[in-house]
Parts: sequence; structure tokens; C-alpha cells
Amino acid sequence: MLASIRKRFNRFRASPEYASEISKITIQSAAVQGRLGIVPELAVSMLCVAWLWDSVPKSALVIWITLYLPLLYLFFLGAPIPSSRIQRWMSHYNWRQNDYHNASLQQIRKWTRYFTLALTLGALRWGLGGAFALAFATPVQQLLIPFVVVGVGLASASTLSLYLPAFYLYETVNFAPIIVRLGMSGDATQWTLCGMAIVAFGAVLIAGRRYATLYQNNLHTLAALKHERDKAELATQAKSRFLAMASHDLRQPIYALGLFVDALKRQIRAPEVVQLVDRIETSVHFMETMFNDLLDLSKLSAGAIEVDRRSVPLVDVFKEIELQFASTARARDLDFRIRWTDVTVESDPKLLRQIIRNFVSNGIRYTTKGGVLLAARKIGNGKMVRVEVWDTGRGIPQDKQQEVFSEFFRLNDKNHIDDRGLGIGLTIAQRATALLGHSLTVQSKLGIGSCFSLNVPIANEVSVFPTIVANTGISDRIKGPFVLNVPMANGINAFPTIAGSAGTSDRLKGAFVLVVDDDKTVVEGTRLLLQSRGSHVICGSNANEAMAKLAEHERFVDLIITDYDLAGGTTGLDLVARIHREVCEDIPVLIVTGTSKASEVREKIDYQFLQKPVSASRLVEAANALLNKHCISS
Amino acid sequence: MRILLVDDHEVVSEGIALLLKQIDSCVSVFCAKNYSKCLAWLAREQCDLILFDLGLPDCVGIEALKELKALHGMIPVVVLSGQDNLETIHAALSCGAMGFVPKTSSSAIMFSALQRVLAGGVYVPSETMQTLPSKISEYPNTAKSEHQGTIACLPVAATELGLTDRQFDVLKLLIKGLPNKLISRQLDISEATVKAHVSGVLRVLNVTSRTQAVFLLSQKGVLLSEA
Repeated sequence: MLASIRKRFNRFRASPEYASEISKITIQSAAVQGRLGIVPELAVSMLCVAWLWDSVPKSALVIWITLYLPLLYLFFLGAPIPSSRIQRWMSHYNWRQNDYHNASLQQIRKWTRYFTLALTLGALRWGLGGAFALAFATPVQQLLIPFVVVGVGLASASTLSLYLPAFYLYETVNFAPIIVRLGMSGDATQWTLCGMAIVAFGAVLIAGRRYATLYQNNLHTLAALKHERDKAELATQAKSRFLAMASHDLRQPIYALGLFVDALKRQIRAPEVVQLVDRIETSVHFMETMFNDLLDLSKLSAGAIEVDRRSVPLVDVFKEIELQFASTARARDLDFRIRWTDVTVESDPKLLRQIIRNFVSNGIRYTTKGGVLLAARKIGNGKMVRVEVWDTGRGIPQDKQQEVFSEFFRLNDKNHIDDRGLGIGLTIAQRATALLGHSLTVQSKLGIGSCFSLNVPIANEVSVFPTIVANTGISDRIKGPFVLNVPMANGINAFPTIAGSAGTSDRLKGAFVLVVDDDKTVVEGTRLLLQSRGSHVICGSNANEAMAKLAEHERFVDLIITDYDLAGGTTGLDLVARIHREVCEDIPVLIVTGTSKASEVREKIDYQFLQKPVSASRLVEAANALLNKHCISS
Repeated sequence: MRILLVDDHEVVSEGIALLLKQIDSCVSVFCAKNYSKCLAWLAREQCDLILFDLGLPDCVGIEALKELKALHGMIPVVVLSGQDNLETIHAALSCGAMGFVPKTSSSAIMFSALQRVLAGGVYVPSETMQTLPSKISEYPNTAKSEHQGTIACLPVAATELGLTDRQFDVLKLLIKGLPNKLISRQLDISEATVKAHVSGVLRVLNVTSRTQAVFLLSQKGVLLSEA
């Protein structure tokens, strides 16, 4: 059994660099433990002296106990410093200090000689002292003195055994005199005691050694673990460097190749050459796609992708997918249908697009007749939506349905589909899904088709007031006969002209408003309300924030809506004065305030003033009126 | 037209230079491999447009762009970059870039984008506009045309936009990325007047900042004609 334990422990031999460190730690621990034993040893010594005072010659006892002091001195020459207070006291008296932490192994070995010597002499003191006392002791004491000596030996074992050389020496010197003395006595009782002492000696040695081995192995294991961790860290750093290099440098020649091929295409006329260059272009395109896929996978694996969570209208994503795959599907004579939806989800737009794109791409790739359907439907209690990609392809056998997500796995294919890709599309989809916290599932029947689906949470920050800004583009400032719609080659309207004025009642359309209030809910509510009327809104919770936001926009605000009391002691009036000074003089102002100061505030200011709580209609009315007045006068 | 192309990868520079020549054979393209060479060249020579890569080895892209605009505000800068995330594009435009062409675009899109840039228009990838929190995302987008590889580019005059001539001049310079000081110097008006005009222009276009104006013009495929 010992052998098997040893074998298990031997697995963790640490490398040479750590070996010296381990030795240092071992010796230091032994020394520290030894230090701990000083007071108990003194105490026990004094008790023994008191106990044997009447039987053993007093002078001997006194010599015996005073021998303790030089040993203590010798010990401290080699031991580490007990505490910082003693350290200061020692440096005050210019004693040498042993700094175990920063010393080299050789130096430490030198110090150990001192305290090993001290310990050995101490053991000698016990052993010889005990043997000597036996001659003078009373019968009862004679029985007990061996136990005391053995006891001291055992007590030290647990602490000193950490440093085996000192330990062996100590125990031998401790036990030997008493064993010899008892053995030579010729008395049956004493022989029994001798035998017991021998057994105790053997037991202590074995136990001590095992303890030491255990301790050593702990240290070795720790060292090995640290080594592995360092290796892993180096590997991660290497991977990051690779990613950075690949993203930047490796990509460039591939990219340049695409540019050159494009340039070449524009220059050639001869049809055979055109065909050839077309083939080159296709190859380059494949290469680019595969390279980008690999890079995406590396980034996902390395955790180098930052998720940018926002509200994503599914219709935008579907539109992109349609643009990308409609022609490919048509070329393969497949039916690519999309069931449109007006749901908005909460996800990262790029990653979401990638996942769905990979599903659709697979669907098209592995379908020879029929088609692919992209759809979304609400599930659960309306909190989630499931985006599904159905295809009428070959299907995936049951036992492979989890494996298809493994890296570089492609289904065995007797039909030799040309563009099979690298087999990492689904891996990327899976990793991206995990990163986003969504879930994906696959259903498939051989010969019938498959369905890959992704569960995405619906965005819960649906505006209370729908944003209608689509109508506030320049195209809507068209009133009157000056409209000029120039249709372009692909049917997109150019800038229509404007000339007429928008209706007087809705000046908020297209207006640029600053809203300042230290209450976040008030700010949010006002913002949503104004945005639903078509305004551009910037907000701040205090004067400095408001000024900072203003600095980001070159356009002057058309209207300032602010609370009278702002955080930081400034009033809304101070802020307004500052804006008038620094930005533009005549921006209309609307002050909103709570009830407590209403009356006194009303007298102080001559801006338009509203009292909280303000109803939506009142706010809009007041804002419109101000903007109207300002527009007419300017 | 003289173009300075700043990119540390020679192969890519050559490819882009080739495309530029194909779009307009009268163009002269000069290449600089890093930021210090770019500054050194600009100290000696003139150019009409800078194509600037954000991934240069000897500088931090956006900081360098700011510095470049501060030193040579009159020259429009279009950013090329391998990173096409929203923050980078926004940052580049806020620093005064006149456009952003991601290196990840297909060569067809790169061609159209450069075509537009050479004609004096702005280009911003349409993908980012869909994720913009501002109202611009609600405009009818031109995604269709982009995927077919052609982005229409229509020259437009002041009246069509509803701007006065003065405002139109200010807009042209604003889009080019000139700071207010240089605009005032160029048009010989006070800086306060420039600010007021800028505000007025943005109001007419129904946007609130220069960055949004750039996005809008790119999306509409508008070219501010040199009438």
C-alpha cells in the first residue's frame, strides 16, 4: 500500500526550478515550528526541575537548566525572526537578522546548521539528563522519567519532522541515552521500559518520515499546478497574439487579392480569360469566406467578442438575409421564402445575423429540391420568439444531430456537394448562441428535412409612444408646388426639395430639444413623449451633463425644458443663462417645477412655466406654442 | 487629383491605388507606410484627399486622425479600417473624417465607395446606420443598391436641399471636416456666423450633429455639387 501511495505521490514531482524553492519552504517551516517549541520546552524543563528537586543533586539540576540559554542563543543564530517587534529590538542592538524570504538556498542551509546543532544539543540535554537523573531518582520517578523523555521526543516529532535531517538527529540523540541506560540496568521493569522506549523510537521515526513525505508531496503538487497554470497562461497569450495577427496582418493579403482580381476583371475582354478570372474570383471568395469563418470561430472560442445587446427589429435581419441568399437560392432552383414579422428582439444584431445566416446557408446548401423557409413566431407567454429555418433537404440522422455542431464536422456525402464550407457554421452558431444566452434546437427527419430554431427574448423596452420619425425626413417637409422627385436608376428618391412651411400646430416635428431634470423617470417620460412627436431629444440630469451633451451636437437646440431645481445647487435658470451665453442667445425656455416652490418661482422668472405633474398634452401644447412664437419672430 | 494613401500593408495600398486609377485615370496616388512618413510628406507636398488607415503601427488611429485634422484641416480625410464596429466609425466621423470605408467590404463595394469619395461625396457603411440609435435609421435605406454593387450618387444643388447659398457653402466645408475656424477663414465670415449657419444647415437637414449629417448624405447618395 505504501508503494502505491508513493507512486501516486511520485507523479507530482515538480520540475527542478521549483525544487530549491520547495527546500527553502521546508526548512523555513521546520525552523518556525521549532521556534514554537521554545516556550513549552522551557516550561517543561522547569517543571522537571521542580519535580526532581529533592532527589537529584541541585547543582546538577541548575546546570541542566542553565544549559538551556546558550542553546537558545545558538538556535536564534539560525532561526527566522519571530515578530517585527523583536526584529526592531534586534536591529536596535545590531543583532544579525535572518531574512529567510530573500536568502538563497545556500545561505539558508548555513543557518540550518546552527539551529540543527541547537536542537541536537537540546535533545542531548534531555537524553543525557534523563539518563543521569535515573541514577538518583526515586522508584516512582524512575518509572516516569523515560516517559518524560519519550514524551519530549514524540512532541517534537510533529514539528521537526518537516526537516528530516534535523529530525533524525534529534530523535536519535533524545532516545539513545535513555535506551542504553535502561538496557544496562539489569532490572526487569527497566528492561520493559527500555523495550517500550525502543518501540516508541521506531514508531516516531516512521511517523515522522511519513508526515514529512506528505508535506513534501503537497509542496510538489502545488509547484506542479503552478507550472501548469503558467503554461496555460502562456498558451492563452499566444492565442491572443495569433488572433490579433490574423485579424490584421493575415487578412490583408487575402483582401488585397480580392482587390486585384476585381481590377483584373475590369481590364480584360477576351472571353476565355474572363472565364478564368471568374474562377479565380470564386476561389478567392471561398477563401475569404472560410478565412472569416475560422477567424470568427477563434474569436468566439477565445472569448474575444463583445456582445452589443440592443433592440433589433427582426425585419431588418430578415431583409439582410433575403438580400444575401435570394439569388443563390434561385440559382439552385430552390424556393426561399420568408414569413415576415414585426417583432423586435433583444440581442446583438451582428451575432444574431450570423447565426440565422449560418442556418439558412446550411439549409440551402444541403437541399437539392424544394426550398427553405425562414420564419419567426412567439412562444411561451409572449416573452420569447422562436426564429425557425426549415428546409426540405436530406435531413440529419438521429445519432448525428448533436455532432453536427462539432467543429469541422460535415455529414458524409455521396452526392459531393461542391461548396461544403469548413463545417464550422453550426459551431459558430452554437458558440454565439451560448454567448448571447439564447438557446437553439434542431429537429430533423432523414429524407424529409430539418428545422433549426433559435429562441430569442423579445425586447421589453418597447416604446410606450411609437416613434414615428420616418415621417420627419426632408421628404416630408414638402408642401407646396416645389416638389421635385428625381427617380434614380434603381428607384430611390433623391432629396426632394422643400419650400413650404410645416403646419403651425406641430412645431415639435424635427425640433431639437434639451430636457434637464434630476428625476430619471421624468426625463425618460418627457423624452419618449417628444420623440413620439418627431423631435430630436438630448437629456441631462444636471447642468454639467447637459452642457456636455450640448457640446456633442453642432446644432443649436430649439427649446430648453428644465426643472427649476437641479442637482448640485444650480437652478435651471443658471443653466439657461449659461446656454444663452455660450451657445445662442434666444433659445426659448420652458421651466417645469414641483409644487413646493411654485408661487415664489413664478414671480422670479419670466419664462414660460409649468407646474408638476404636467400632463402630456399640456407639455406638448406649451412646447408648440413656444416654438411657434420663436419661429414667427425670427 | 492628388491622393495620399496611408496604409502599412503594401499589397493593400497597391490594390487600392489600382482601383483608384481605374475609377479615374487622372488621379495620382502617393503612398505612405506610417504616420510619421505621412506627416513628413504633407509637410512638403499638397494633396486633395487623404485615405487614412486607422491600424498604423506607429500611432493610435483616432488620436492620429485628430492630430492630422488639427494640422491639415483643409484636406478631407476618408478613413479606411479593418475594424468596422459602430464605435470606431462614430469616433472617426466625430474627429472630422469625411467618410469611412471598411476594409472588410467586398471589392465591389470598395469600388463604389471610392468612386463616390473621388466625386466629392461621402460614404459610410449602411450596416451601421441600421444600428444607430438616432432617427437616421428610420430613413429608407439603400441596402438594396449596395448589395447589387452600385451606390447611386446624385449631385444636388443648394435649392434642392432647402439651403441658402451661404449655408450650402458652409455645408460643403463642414462635410469636408473643416473646423469652424477654417470655415470662417475660407468664407471670410466670423466664427459666430459660421456656428449659426452650421446650426441652420443641420436644422434644415433635420439632424443634430455633423456626424449625423454625414450619415444622412451618405445614405441618400448625395453629392454636394460644386456649382
